Amino acid sequence: MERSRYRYLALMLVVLAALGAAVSTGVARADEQLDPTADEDEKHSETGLSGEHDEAGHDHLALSPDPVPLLLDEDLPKRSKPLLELGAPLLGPGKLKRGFTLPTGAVWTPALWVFGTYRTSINVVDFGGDAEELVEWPQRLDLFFNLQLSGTERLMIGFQPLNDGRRFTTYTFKPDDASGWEWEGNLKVRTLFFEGDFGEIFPKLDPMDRKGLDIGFAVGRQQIEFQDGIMFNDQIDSIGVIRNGLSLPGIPKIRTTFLFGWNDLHRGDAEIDPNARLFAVFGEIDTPRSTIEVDLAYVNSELTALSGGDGLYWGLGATQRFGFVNTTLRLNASYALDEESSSVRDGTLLFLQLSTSPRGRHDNVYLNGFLGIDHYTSVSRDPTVGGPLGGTGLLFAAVGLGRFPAALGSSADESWGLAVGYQRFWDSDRTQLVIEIGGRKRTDGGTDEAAVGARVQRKLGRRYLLQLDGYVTEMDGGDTRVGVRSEFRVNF
Amino acid sequence: VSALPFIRPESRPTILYGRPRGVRKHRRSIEPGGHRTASYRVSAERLTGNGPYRVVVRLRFQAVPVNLIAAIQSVGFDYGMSPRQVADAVVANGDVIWEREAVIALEK
Repeated sequence: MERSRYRYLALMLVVLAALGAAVSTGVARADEQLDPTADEDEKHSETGLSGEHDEAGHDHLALSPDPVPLLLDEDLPKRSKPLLELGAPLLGPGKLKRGFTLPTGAVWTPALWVFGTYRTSINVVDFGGDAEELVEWPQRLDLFFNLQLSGTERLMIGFQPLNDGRRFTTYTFKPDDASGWEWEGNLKVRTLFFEGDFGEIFPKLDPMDRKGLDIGFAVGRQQIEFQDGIMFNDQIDSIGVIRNGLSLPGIPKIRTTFLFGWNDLHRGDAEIDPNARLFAVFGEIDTPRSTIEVDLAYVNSELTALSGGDGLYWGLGATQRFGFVNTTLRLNASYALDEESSSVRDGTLLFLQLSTSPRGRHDNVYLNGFLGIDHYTSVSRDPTVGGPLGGTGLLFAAVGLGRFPAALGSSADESWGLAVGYQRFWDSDRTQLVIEIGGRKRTDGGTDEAAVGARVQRKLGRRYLLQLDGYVTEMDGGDTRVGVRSEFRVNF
Repeated sequence: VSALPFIRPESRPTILYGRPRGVRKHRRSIEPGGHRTASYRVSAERLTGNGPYRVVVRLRFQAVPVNLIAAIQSVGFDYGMSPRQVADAVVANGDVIWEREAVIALEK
């Protein structure tokens, strides 16, 4: 029975790969018919911005002694227009619009750009043991309206009309008792914020730019992400104020952000806490050697029988290079100031990322590891982004589409683990392959897991991406979980 | 790294972070009113005697670093110039904005 299951899954993988190849060929040809210059990206990217050698063995970082004619507009790759653009074209050439002058003295030149991403995939998961398989076809659309007013001021509105949190519009093939369509269409406003710079909005207050009025702010429903998504990764109703460009002796840059959040806060369990109020300060410092992050947050909330409660959180991060090795070290902690609940628990998470590129190539080799003590919980987490360990690697990351689980999960509870991977590029970066091996060891006597996984991405034209993912997870006790998915993405 | 790089306005407020997502611009310049002290070592094999030695220190300004020219050379240059010619001109037209001479006697 188990052997036939693997044959079934292997057959699915072959069918999906063949389907993907057929689709990629057809779509690429269609895209080229629509845009004969679709291969221009490839031609220009082959001229070696990566430092690689071309087929003739020339080093592209060497300075050529031969004249190189300046490329004209018609020689450059065509830009990928958004779905709609009114006013100045997005990244397009042309004359600057005159705009209009506010009573404050600011000059605004409005431009509306509508853009987004559509994703669809077929997810297949064999959970092992006697659990039923999952075969589903979920959909996701992220649609944004960006009203750009100036270089620093804009209004952004965003919708996710095909999913409501972690519930996606999906056709389920298996399990049989859940087969059929689930419709999660909605017009909820997922993103709505205005951001700007006080000094740019009121230039008459400081025409010589000497009073230090360049204070940035953003207000509304906005995505907040700090400590690389470990401490904070959610869309909340909030107001933030930033002071950038500060300095101290020996430290050329300090950025400090103050944030108050009052609504739509998903706590550490990814559930909305309607009583939560957030107070936070986030700082980033450039020292000569490193970029240091220092973050602190306090959530005030009413403790109920099952959730809520006050929480205190802090995070430290240091990013630097040692020779050709990129390193990031993070230490995050959470404290339940009331009794522990599903919203906040006591815990600490230590996280280390190492990466480098083999000499002469821009491939990526990485080794990431973590140590979770007790039950670290984030300040706030969107239901679709998974847990705080997503940055460890593919095996720990949520895909953000459907119910396809990560190979090793992204919870940081009482465990340590690591992932080692290699990211290889071909065909002028139009194709990439990532192979990763990883594992998680529980420190509370729970089930240990090890997994191997891979991801293939193929760019089709300028807007389309085909992605294949697969993993095999071996669990302590003999069970095996297998996941395979094929995703098609359209950027517009 | 995605196989499909695609530039669009960020869906999150950029101003709160001071930089785009996934990008770190490590500022290593000298802050206003600040200073840095540089250390240089000369190996004994390169010395020609017991000295004294005349040291000339120059603080140079140059429009762009030469490796940037190498990185962008694929899009070409005006006036039929080669990347090598552009790089040589950038170096030649850099300014010395500060210079100091000193005489150093080596301790025996």
